[in-house]
Amino acid sequence: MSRVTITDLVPGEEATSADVNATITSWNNAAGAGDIGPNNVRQEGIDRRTLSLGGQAIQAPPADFSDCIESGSTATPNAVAAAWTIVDVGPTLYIGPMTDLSSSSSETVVVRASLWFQGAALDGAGDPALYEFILQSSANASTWADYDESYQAFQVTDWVHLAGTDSVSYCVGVYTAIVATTPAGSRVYWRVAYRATQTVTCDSGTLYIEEYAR
Amino acid sequence: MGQRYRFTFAENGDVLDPASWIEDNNELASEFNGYLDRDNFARNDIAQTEIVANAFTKVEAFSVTAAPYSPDKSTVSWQGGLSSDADGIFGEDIECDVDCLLVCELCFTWEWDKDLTEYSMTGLGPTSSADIFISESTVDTAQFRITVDGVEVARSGLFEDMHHRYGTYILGSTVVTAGVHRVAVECALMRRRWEGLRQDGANTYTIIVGARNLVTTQEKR
Repeated sequence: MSRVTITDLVPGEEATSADVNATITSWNNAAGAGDIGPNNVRQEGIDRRTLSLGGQAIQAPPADFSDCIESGSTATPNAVAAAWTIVDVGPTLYIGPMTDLSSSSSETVVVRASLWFQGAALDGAGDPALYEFILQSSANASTWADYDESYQAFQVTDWVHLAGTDSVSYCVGVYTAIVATTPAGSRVYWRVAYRATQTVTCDSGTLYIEEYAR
Repeated sequence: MGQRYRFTFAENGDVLDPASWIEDNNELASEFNGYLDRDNFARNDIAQTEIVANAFTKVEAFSVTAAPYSPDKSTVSWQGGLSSDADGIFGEDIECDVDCLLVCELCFTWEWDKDLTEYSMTGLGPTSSADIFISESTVDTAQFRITVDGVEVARSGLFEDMHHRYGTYILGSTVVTAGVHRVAVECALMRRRWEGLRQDGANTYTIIVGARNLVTTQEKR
């Protein structure tokens, strides 16, 4: 409890030290370090003016947010029979540091990625073309770990043929989302990777990270 | 509200007036006991560490990577909204401590439970650039939705069995009261006619739902 209780003094009577000390003690107990709480603050008495922006009290987009939007093109043919190789979608996408707090608390980070790609069709032969995407994270931008639950796969049959055309591009959009937590003070890199049995061209992609501190 | 106190100060040699002493303390105590507000705190004074966790936003994630789920292809009803990995896609209880906006996001990969050789379309191509040849009048379809307490908040389009694998993302949101709410993800399998997408019985094939991730965000303030 952090409420103050006043012990009244009675006019005309000698004040006792116990009564005075009881009031002083109540103040001391209520206003001590860490004791001020919901009993003291008026309902809805705090607004955004009182919240520290520098401390990322609520949530904040990364300072280098613009670095997370990539556009361009990368074409990576992989033979059907070859071992699949994870290939970056354009330059490495990253943000960070997530927080500069010195506490041991973790922040909840929501990572969302979207992109669109087109792949060459198979001309009606063999298995359907398979395209797979996944989110990866890294502490050092060199060793990457998959977030398996972000796995997205598209296996495209070859039924869209144009007359007289051996192959035709197939376009599809991908959107995936994942939640992850990062330790305070750490720098975490994120990227989208893919592997495919056919040549893929990724023309644009967006990686969006939100930090929920409170 | 701040700075409203009237103080009665004692002078040297005075006899302390209990009424003044009580009044001074009561003024302070009445402010302190529940009326501190933005007037008492400096601008930009309350930092992250002084705010209770999840005060404004609470994010929860439910992930399944190694428990494929196959719905019953003999029924056309919505199914799969159970929390057990093998028996459903998702069925999760979300506890909200205050009224809030509940945002539900789902991403997952899934495939038709049919052999790849059945997708061979050699020779079925269109005869002109304006046509696509379809050999059957009906098609297996799958559809997905997110419900909160049984009320649908998001529904995907119809996916047909002309492609083997799909990656799917759907998002829905609704306002919920404080308390526990059930967020479920369900699917419906139904064979449909191409024309008008009318129902034409049960599916020939079921599906296999693979890696999946449900993200719920409670936005409170």
